Amino acid sequence: MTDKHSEQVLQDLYKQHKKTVSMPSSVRDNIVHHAKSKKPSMWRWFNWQSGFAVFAVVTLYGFVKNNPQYNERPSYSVSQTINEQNQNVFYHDVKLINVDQRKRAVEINKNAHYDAFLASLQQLKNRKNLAGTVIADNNKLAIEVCDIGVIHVSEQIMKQLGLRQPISSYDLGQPIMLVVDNRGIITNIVRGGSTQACS
Amino acid sequence: MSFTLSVKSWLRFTESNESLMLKYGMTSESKYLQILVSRLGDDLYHFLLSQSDPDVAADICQATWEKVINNRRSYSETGTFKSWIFKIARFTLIDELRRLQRWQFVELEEQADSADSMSKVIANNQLQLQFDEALAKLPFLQREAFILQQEGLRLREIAIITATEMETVKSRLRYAKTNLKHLLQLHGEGE
Repeated sequence: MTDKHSEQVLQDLYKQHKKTVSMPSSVRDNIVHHAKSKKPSMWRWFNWQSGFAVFAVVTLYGFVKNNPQYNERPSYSVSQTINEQNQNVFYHDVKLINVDQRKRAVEINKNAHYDAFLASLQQLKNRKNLAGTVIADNNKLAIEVCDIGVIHVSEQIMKQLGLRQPISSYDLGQPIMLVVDNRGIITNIVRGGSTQACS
Repeated sequence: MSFTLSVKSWLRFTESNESLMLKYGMTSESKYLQILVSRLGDDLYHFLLSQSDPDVAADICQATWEKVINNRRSYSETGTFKSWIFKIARFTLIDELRRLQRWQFVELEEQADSADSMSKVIANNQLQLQFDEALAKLPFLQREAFILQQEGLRLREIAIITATEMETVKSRLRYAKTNLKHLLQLHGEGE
């Protein structure tokens, strides 16, 4: 028997010797149990899937937070002035970030002008349906409502209301009904009705 | 689906012990440790059993893996994971044997006596049984050097595990094999 052969025999005998030995299952179970008990609860849920999900949520939140399209509501404002005929003139406008926002509830920019418009509404019997007529004011078409004054409605409001034709396409003297809600916001513009003659 | 599973299992199979241990250290995911236990558990237990008895081997085996678990974040890939865990196991075992007052530092010069006592084993006709008994009767340091080499560890790694010089490891190996071959009558023409 050569020395190389005897080395091989020793190796084979050793392998055979090892085959008869295996770690007791109780020891194996204890090790695994110990490993699980040592895992911090935070890490228990942390794997690459949850890590990716957290990253995606944080990224999305940052994107939404920094994008006015998603976190700003349409801002409704009223401006008041006096025209040459000493009439109160109210400019109604809404700031839309995009057209998709038109269905969202608007946020009112409350100020003295807005309060003045509300005060004017308080004088009316019917505060929700304002009958008026299309007139020209300061070279623009507007709506004259008796006991309130002249109301200019911006193109943005027309868009928000989903009205295809702007005020500028209306005819002078045309009867108009402005529908407003409890907050004084124009919620609809209805063409037609009887012509109003303010005294 | 089955293809994905097979690729996954293939990847897991080929992943090195060192990589698994590093992942375990980073994530504390017990699945990585379980793979390591399945790969090396029997080897380690066999080593410990060869150097002690079933009760001590089971205790030290568990204690060793618990040390691996507790020190999982301090593992660095400076050597093989196998040599790392065998080193932990060896020191833990020696501490335990010292505590039990069963630790005897038997070195090379005591070989003659050991060889004589082992000669009784030759009477056994079955080679495997002869080997098992001969291995059990080898001095502690020779047996551990022989087993560690059979486990695929390099001389340098064995030297680190046993905290000794490489030349000493070579001597222990030479004595161990000579004794085994002598008792098993494997030393004919080659020696």
